[in-house]
Amino acid sequence: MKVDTQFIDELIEKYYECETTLEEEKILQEYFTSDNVAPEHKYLIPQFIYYEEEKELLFLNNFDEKMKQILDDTPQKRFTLKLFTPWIYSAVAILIIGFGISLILNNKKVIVTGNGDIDKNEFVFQKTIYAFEQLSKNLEITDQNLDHLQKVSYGLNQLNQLKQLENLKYINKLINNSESQ
Amino acid sequence: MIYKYTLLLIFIIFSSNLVFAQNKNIDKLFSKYSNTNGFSSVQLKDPGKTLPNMTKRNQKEIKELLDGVEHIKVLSMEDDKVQKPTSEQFREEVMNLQPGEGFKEIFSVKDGGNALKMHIKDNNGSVSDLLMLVSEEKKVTLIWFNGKLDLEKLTKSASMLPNILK
Repeated sequence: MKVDTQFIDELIEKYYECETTLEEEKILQEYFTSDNVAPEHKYLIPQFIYYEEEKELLFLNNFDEKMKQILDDTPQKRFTLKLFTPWIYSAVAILIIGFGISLILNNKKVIVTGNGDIDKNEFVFQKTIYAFEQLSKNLEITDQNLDHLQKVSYGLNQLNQLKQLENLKYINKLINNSESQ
Repeated sequence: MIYKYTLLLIFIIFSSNLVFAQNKNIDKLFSKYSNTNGFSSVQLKDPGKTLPNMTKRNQKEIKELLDGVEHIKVLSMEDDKVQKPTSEQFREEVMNLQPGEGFKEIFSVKDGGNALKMHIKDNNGSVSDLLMLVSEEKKVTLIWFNGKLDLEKLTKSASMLPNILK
């Protein structure tokens, strides 16, 4: 049987580019297992025979069972959730302790420094009294300034009214003068 | 491993302190100077509850007058107890303090060696912060009130509280 080597070359090329159909692969398989392999293709015979053997081994002879056996024989690692490692437990504990400490620190209601020999409570009272005295004094100054501004504003207003009165008097005088003339 | 945990703990404490910080610029001054010689500070949280618990007299009045005040902080420097560059630096830092966004300087007086600045922070129509910066001849003080401040009530408290607490 004469084989179209050009056609086989095309198929081989397609085969290595993974573009062959199942039918074309079958043609190649049959060609390489036959006695009509062209001399230029003989170097590929072992490769295709190997593929054939592997196929038989995997697909033809109880593939499922063989796969199961392979899987069963492989020592399997037990799946453990990496989250629950001792390190994570310790980290969570540290987080809780840290949060607790910071809460205690922040909940400290009175912080005093530089009180020297003075009792802490006494010092707090002294400073609070001072703060409120300053506040009282300064609010008083603010009030006084506002008062002063109000008074100035009132004064200006009065002055304005006075000027208007003077103007009216002056106009009145002019009118009277013109009437008498 | 212990080193890792220590770092983690320090980070948590530090970050939580940042979260609870009240005013970045004011707190910065407190942390910089409050533990220095010649400086003194008092930080009161919820004084309406804290102060009455510290005295047995006039508890009810104190509580009522301080209702709404959440924090009082006072930082003082006695000029004669602090060496020259530090005292001058503190005086300058206090009197040039920019308390932050939302604050308005409502009052500023300079009279000879004395100076006073008052800032308030208006928060949706109500005063949330009142800051007084007082520079006297021998003393510099920063006084900060925070909370839901009713200025009219605070004026009343300011005139009454010193007598009640004395």
